[in-house]
Formats: sequence, structure tokens, C-alpha cells
Amino acid sequence: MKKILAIETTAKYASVALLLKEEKIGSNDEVVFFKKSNKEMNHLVDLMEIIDFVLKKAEIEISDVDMVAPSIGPGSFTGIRIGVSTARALSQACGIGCIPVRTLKAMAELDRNREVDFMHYACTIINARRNQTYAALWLFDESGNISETFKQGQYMIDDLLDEISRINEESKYPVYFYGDGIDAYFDKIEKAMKNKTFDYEIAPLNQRYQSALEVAREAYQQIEMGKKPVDYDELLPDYMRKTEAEMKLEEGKIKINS
Amino acid sequence: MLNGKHITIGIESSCDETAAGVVADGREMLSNIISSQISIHTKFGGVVPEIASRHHLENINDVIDRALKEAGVSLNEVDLIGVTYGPGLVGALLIGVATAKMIAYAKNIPLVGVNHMHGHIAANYIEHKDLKPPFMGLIVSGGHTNIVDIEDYNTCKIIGETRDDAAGEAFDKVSRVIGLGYPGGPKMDRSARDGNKNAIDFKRVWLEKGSYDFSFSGIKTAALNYINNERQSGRDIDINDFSASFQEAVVDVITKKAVDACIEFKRDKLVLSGGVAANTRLGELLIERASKAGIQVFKPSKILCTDNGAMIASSAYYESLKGNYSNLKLDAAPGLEI
Repeated sequence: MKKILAIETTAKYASVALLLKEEKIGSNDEVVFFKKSNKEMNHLVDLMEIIDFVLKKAEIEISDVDMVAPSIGPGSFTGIRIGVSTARALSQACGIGCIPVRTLKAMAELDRNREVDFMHYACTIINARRNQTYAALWLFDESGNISETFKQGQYMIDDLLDEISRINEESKYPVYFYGDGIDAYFDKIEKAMKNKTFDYEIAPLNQRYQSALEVAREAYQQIEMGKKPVDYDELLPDYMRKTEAEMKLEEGKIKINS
Repeated sequence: MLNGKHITIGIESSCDETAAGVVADGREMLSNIISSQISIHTKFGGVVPEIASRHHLENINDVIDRALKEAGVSLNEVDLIGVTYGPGLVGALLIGVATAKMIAYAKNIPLVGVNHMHGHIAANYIEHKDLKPPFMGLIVSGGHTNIVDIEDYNTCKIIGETRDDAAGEAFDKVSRVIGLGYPGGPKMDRSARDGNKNAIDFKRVWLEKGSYDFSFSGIKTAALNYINNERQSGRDIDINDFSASFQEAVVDVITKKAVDACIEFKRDKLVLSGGVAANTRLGELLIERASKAGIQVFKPSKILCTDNGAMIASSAYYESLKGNYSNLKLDAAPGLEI
């Protein structure tokens, strides 16, 4: 049995999922213990408590966990760091391997709740403020296999929407939107998608945001595909953005002090 | 436990130094590892919080590893974990706190959140094995200038504090303008040694009679005005004389108030801590004035003056003796008061 502890702290609410996956031949048994904080942006205070909660519920010692899978970003810089630091510390203390999970990919797992068997796109968008997004476009085939359409990264919302329309002009697959980028750019998305020749849908609130459940599923998929866990010193955040100070330095807006 | 001794690891990440240190029985320093980011922030002229946080995350586990290794212990022998939870930069603090909480939980080790300022004071318990409260404390750093009466371990009563800039802050700002660069304190210290402390008379700010508070923004402004005037008039500034004179104005006020406080509150021991405790002239003048009044001065060695993990371990040890532990909800407290 594989025991994967998934941690999600890039979004507003911290959550933890302990995925117990039976690995006997012919068995697809899995159990998930899940807990989400009910306080916004309270990750540092809540995280260890909700980790303790799911472990006690599952009656599993933390040292028996096989792998820790934090959501590494993009998203809130502070949130990312709380999750990644906690995961690194666990790995350091107990010698547990780490599976880094990229947030935009984990979010694509939200789409599986639809259980559709036709080709379609899932667009996962995180608000990066000032008309910017961290975004990815995932193509799902009839069997549920997923592929990355363009490189996940930082995009202006208008450019993103234009690109989706351009890519989908011939194929005309339905496009489903997920993530808090929806909350920030709702009107722009609606306006851009309204008169297109393909269907689109904006995820309802209860299916819109990433949680540790999706992170756990994505981590398990990575393992299935042969991904080897890394040591804590190789577990790093994926901010997808340089710091403002560094950007200003590069643009020559501030002078270098020698 | 190791060889019958209680083992504490202290973790520190409040500003731009990621540090961990192991201490036996609260006072014996077994290791003190510091990963400094000073060179990274120099090109920005000061600490950039977001950059500091990113670096803390990348360094903290390695720093902890090395501290354990050098001390010859593993986490299995650690009896207590101390971690700075404030004051400081919130993004930096949370790296230490998140890391410490998980290690404590995973290895079932008790955890104590430590006030960074108490940590600075505790650096003296490591340096001076027989030093015990009560004593008067003088904390001088980039963020603090306090006179505190310490009746018991980790128990401070503020006698005087700065009403505006901290002394270290004033050094940093003036140093940047005069062209010495960042970090200002150590650079001014070095420059001052070759200068004449009486060359320029910067007006001391004493505040109202009987007050042990400080105000350095006036002296800072006077210094900056001096620089401007000289430059505008096309006169060369002797940087060493300037440094020595500015520094003298600052330490003159600090040392007199600290010694006066000892006399008023009948303390015969004065304990100096904080990053600026490493300042040569401050130590010199303090000892000179204190000795005249029959007061003994204690200060840490250089490495224990600036931010480090061993001092945090020591403070945590004494806090644990009082039975004060932290739980899983420990939060970063960037504005934590002394």
C-alpha cells in the first residue's frame, strides 16, 4: 500500500489529503483522508493541525508515510513556501521522498469530476494580478489521457484567451475553465468565449479551486508514470515569477549598489 | 540526550541570516552554523524581504543538517527545538517556524518559540557560563535599541527604547549616503577606527530629563545635512573622521543612559547584546563608563552578537525549564514585543 501525504497551500484555504492506495494486482482500492482549513490565508497556523488530523483519522504514524507531495506553485508566494518548507522538513526528519506537484497540473484533476468521454480542453488559471495569469491548457482525449497544449506559464489574460480561440478554431472542442483566475477575470472570459463556435463552461464554485485531493491524485499519477521521488534539497518552489526587486534591477529601474 | 547532556537545537530565520545551532545544557555551544544572505542583498542596498524568504527556504534544511553534524548529534538525540517566531520579517520567520513545527511533530520533540530579542540576550549565557539574571540588558541592533531590566531568564521589563530609528538603522542609512555601502554598521566601525571622533560635533539628543528612551532620527538628519552641505560647497569629506564623529554621537548617548539606568535600578551587571554589540567603540566606551561606576559589562563574542541559532537554543532551553512550550499552532509574530 502506498501512503501519500499531499499538501496544498497555494490557494486561499490550506488542505491536506492522505491517499492510501492498495497496490495488489486486480485491486484498485484507495482511501483518502482529507481535511481543509476553514480560515482564509491561515496556512502557517493551520497546516500542522490538519496534517495531524488526517493522520490520526487514518491511524497512521507520520513516519510511516511513503511520500510527501506538496503543491509547489504557482500561486501565493507565502503559501507555496509554507507547504514546501513543511514538506522538506518532513522529508529531512523522516527520510521520506518528495513528489513535487505543479499546481496548474493538479488543478486539471478537477476536470475529471466531469467524467466526460469526448475530446475537450481544461484551462486552469491562477490570478497573477494586473491582468496577468499563471495558466495552462490541458487537452483531454476520449480515454482521459491528458497532454499540455502550450507551456504552462505566466500570460496576460487577453493573450491567453486569444490563444485558446486560435488553437481551438478548427477542432472546436469544449473548453472548461478552473481556478481563481476565473474570479479575477470572469467578465473577460465570458466576453471572449461567448460568441465562439465551441462550447465553454466556467466551473461552479464548489469545483473551481485546487485542493490537496487533486494534488494527491496528480502525485499518484506521476508515480505511476515512473517519476522517482526526490530528496528534500531538490524540492523547490515553482514561483513562475521573479521577485519585483530583481525585475526592477534588470530593467535598470534601480541602480546596482557596488 | 548526549553523554548525559540535554541537547537543544535553535533555528533562526528572522531577517537575512539562516542559522541553526546546537547547545548542550543551555550553555555549551556544540555548533553554530550561519548562512548569510548579506552579499545577495547588497546590490539592492538593503534586505529585500521576498528574496530573503526564497533563500531561507533553500538554505534552512542544509543549515540544520550541518549544525547537527558538527555537534555530533542526530535528531534522535535532540531533546528540544527552539525557533525564532518574532520579531522580524514575516516571510522569513515563517520558514523557520514551518520547518521547526514539522521536525518537532515528526520526531516527537518538544518545541519552544523564541523571541529573537531574548535570543540576543541569551547569547551572553553561552559566552559567560556563570552569568545569571538579574542584570540590566542593553540591546542594540538594526531594529532595536532597548534598555531592559532582566529579573529572570526571558523576563524583560523595558526601561528605555527608541522613539524612532534604531541605532543600527541609523548607521545603515548614514553609511549608505556617505558611500560606505551596506551593511553600514561594520563598515562605519572600521572606518571610524582611523578617524578623529571629535572632528565634527554632532548634537546629541538626550530627550527629557530622566528618560531612558532614545531618538536617533535627529542625529541621522544632522549627519545627512552635513554631508549635503559639504558636497554642495565642494568640500571633501574625510570619511573616517565623519564615521568616528557620527558613531561617537550615537554611542555617547547609549552608554550614558545604560550606565545611568544601572545606577538607578541598582544593577551591578550590564549585559550588551544585538548586532551592534559588536561595535568596537560602543564596547570600549561602555566598559570605560561602567567600570567607573563599579558595573561589570558582559558582551558576546562577535559571532554570537549577530543573528545565530545557538543563542535561540539557549533561550529556548531556559524557557523550557519554566515549562513554557509551543504547540502546533505556533505563528510568526513579526511585531513581537520584548
